[in-house]
Amino acid sequence: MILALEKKKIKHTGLLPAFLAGALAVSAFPVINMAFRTDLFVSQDLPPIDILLNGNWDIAATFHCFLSILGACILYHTEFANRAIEKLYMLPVSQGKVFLCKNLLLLLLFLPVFLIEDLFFLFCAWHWFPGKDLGVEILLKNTAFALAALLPVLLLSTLIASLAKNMWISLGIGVIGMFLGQMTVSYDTLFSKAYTFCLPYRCLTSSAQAEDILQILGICAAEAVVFAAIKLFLIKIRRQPV
Amino acid sequence: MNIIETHNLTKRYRDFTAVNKLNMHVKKGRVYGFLGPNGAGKSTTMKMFLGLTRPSSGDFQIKGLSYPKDRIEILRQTGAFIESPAFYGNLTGEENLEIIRRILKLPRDSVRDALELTGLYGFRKRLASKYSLGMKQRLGLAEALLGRPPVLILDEPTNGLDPAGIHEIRTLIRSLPQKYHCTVLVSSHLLSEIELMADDIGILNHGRLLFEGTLPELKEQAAQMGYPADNLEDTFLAMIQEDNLKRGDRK
Repeated sequence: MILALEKKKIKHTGLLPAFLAGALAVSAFPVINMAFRTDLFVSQDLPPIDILLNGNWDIAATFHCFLSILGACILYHTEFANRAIEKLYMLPVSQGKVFLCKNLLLLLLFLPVFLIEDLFFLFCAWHWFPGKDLGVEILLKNTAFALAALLPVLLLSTLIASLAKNMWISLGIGVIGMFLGQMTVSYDTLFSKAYTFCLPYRCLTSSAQAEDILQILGICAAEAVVFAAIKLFLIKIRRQPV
Repeated sequence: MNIIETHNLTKRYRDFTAVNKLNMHVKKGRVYGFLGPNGAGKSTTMKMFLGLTRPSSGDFQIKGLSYPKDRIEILRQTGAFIESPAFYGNLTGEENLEIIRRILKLPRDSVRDALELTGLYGFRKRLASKYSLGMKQRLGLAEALLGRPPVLILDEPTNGLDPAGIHEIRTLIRSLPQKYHCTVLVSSHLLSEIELMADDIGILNHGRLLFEGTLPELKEQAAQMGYPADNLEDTFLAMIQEDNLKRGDRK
């Protein structure tokens, strides 16, 4: 029921067009990349999907992080703009459920985003690597992996957005966090392995090691639990929304 | 029978006491006017009733339900409007009420009922952000009235309304106990307004309840204390002034 209400609340917020525009922008990138740097990519001795993911995933991950932050900011901005959240606190509804359903809604909104991206990746594989295996299976596995890696980013972004009445504050903190992740992801440090905004930059290719994948999924699960627990704790100790 | 009862209810913020050992009694089926100057503690008291802020000490019961044990049930039984209207600007008036209706699990026609009751039915399809100040105020009231709850807590509900709107809302509040068998706790800093809609009055100053009773009882007490009794505005001001002087002496 709460999820259905959260879906209702996003009417006229621009969230759906933002996600659609984001999906199309991310999807267009591998096509443009392949069109302009064809030789660089087709000459590699790797499965087509691996080449495409290696060459384009960083920009896709940046977009995913940005969409997460934007989505969280929009969802909570509608709550704060006309004090609707205060009315919500006067109703017999669990604030924890509201928070988790907002995250679930954002996660569900990412499904069509990933679907569009996957279709464009498959188009690139079919067009520029004729006769080779398209790698649908690895692409689907990567989608599931990417959704899992995005979960802590969503929870952290909504947590921040839920604590600041002013949307620009949560947007600013989120963007700084995102750029920090983008800058440090290439380093081989513990921070870059565990930092929330670095996680979506990992992708699952056919050469990925099972233990690496499990380690990343473990970090994602742990961070998701921690962020959800922080929010639930804050709801418990603070009666007022902010 | 008292619908709302407080026992030494106190709210302290560090060195400031917003509500001080409040013992108030709101009788069933009555309109209780909660009167006091700005900063007297009216909103804080109402927020405590809704669980928006925790009491520092003391307790209260609403319909025999006690806080914090029965907080959710209290919220289910109470319609509230605190300070100013709260709504989703990106949704229509009807959609705003529909969200609350679904949370409260009320029948579908309760939305129409609340819209008609507050005169918003003709504007139900308009975005709430496009409503005038008075319409937003009515939407806030419609949210509180949705499902005709047995207890209504209204914090300065006529703020921002034009004289015709004030009269209309006042008449509506006045009629609620008879029409829907509910109890209304309404706050204001205007005695003239409370005088026209309340059966019982509670006067609050600096968190302390100076008077509780009916209007004739207030007049009687004013006469006994030597306050001007023919004009209630003057009675109220004299009462507040004397309390402020006493507080000054104590300091």
